Amino acid sequence: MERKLDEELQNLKKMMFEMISLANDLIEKSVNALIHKNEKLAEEVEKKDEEMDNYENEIDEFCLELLARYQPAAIDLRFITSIMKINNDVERIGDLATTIAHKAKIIIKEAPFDIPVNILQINKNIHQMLKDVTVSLTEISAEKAMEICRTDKSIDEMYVETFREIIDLVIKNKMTVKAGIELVLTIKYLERIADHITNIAEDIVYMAKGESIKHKKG
Amino acid sequence: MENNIRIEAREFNAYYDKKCALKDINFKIFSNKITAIIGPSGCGKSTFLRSLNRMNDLIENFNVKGELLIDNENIYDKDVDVIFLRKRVGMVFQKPNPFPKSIFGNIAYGLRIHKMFKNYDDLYMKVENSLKEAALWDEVKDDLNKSAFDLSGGQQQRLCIARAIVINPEIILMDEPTSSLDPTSTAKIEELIRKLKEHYTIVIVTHNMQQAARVSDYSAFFMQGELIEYDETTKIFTAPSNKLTEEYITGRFG
Repeated sequence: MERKLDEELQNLKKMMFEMISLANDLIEKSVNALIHKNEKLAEEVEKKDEEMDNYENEIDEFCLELLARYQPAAIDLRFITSIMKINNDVERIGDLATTIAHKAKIIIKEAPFDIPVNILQINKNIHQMLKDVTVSLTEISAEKAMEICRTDKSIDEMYVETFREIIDLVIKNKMTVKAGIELVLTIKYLERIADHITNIAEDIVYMAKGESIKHKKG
Repeated sequence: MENNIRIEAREFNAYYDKKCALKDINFKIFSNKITAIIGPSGCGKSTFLRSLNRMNDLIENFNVKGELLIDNENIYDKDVDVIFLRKRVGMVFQKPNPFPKSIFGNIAYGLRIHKMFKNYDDLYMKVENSLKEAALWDEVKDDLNKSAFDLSGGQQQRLCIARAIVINPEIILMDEPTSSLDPTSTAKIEELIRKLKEHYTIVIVTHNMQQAARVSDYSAFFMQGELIEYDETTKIFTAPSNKLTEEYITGRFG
């Protein structure tokens, strides 16, 4: 039986995809601003943060409306409540991207240095994770979402490695202390973005299976 | 707290003539819990409920196979006293059905036929207590001699609940007890149901999915005479295991 709620849930999903796509765009631009020393790009990201906030509010309101009007159960209920959580994580991702853009503007002004290769790799992995999130959300696939959680571990390892690399560059005077500190913070933010994406993946697992995998080791 | 089994169906089948209305039901209902039975029309939920106090005996050509145990005794055994069974297993119906008597007379009726009082003071006290337990006393204490028909629908239903509990049943069956009531009366009855589980085991049939979600501890989903899924209500309404249950409670069919 075709339900009005199905149509509403499709609209909700569409809004969520648009928001994730915007978050993806903000990360890409903020990292590019840093790599290509492009201040204009950084400013563009800062301006778009408001758009993210608007999405967050709209999605929140829409979810509340659906809960009130349809009193959903089972998969419908899990879908809506999970979207509310995902919404929150995506908004945080947007905030972090904006902060990275802000840091980029500071770093650009410092003496030039070679960007550690790992940052590029972390950036690449994050984009892949976001792409996978979109796929697993489209299919509501727990298996694909679990895969994303595993990717997060490799990013954590790269973060530690890059951190050491930056310290080393600073010690060897190949990077200013200020640039080093800001760059360490930047990779920390990237690593946190990956954590938020992992949260989203965990929410998708719950959405699909009705079982929480949060705070479970293994 | 450990769950004690109050009612147990073992391979229970019910037939109207040759038509199978309940098929191989295996089902354990726990003491002092509210168990909701949900399912589309004709799924067997009312047949099951009515089997629990043998109300179906009144229907010609109704017969059963398998066992239906209350406190480990098969209520379909030949030597079971049906009148006594129905005293133990009270029932509240879809539409409030007060007797054409006074409010007091309605409640006193069961006590009188079962000779469950010593003297008038005792009778009055039992009537008063059951009306209090049914959260109706404050509204009717000055009008006990008025006709029960003068009460509102919600009050009549609480009167019927008071009438059911006054004879100390162990189990109360409710067949869509709020379907003819407005939201305020429904809320009062639901509140009452929650309180009653302290002393009684409650089995409720409802078409209102949100009601099952609100009041029950356990939910059972019946379809085409079969028990499809039975679990804690929270589980049924957030993450049911069976696809059919999910389709039903999300309104994809039925």
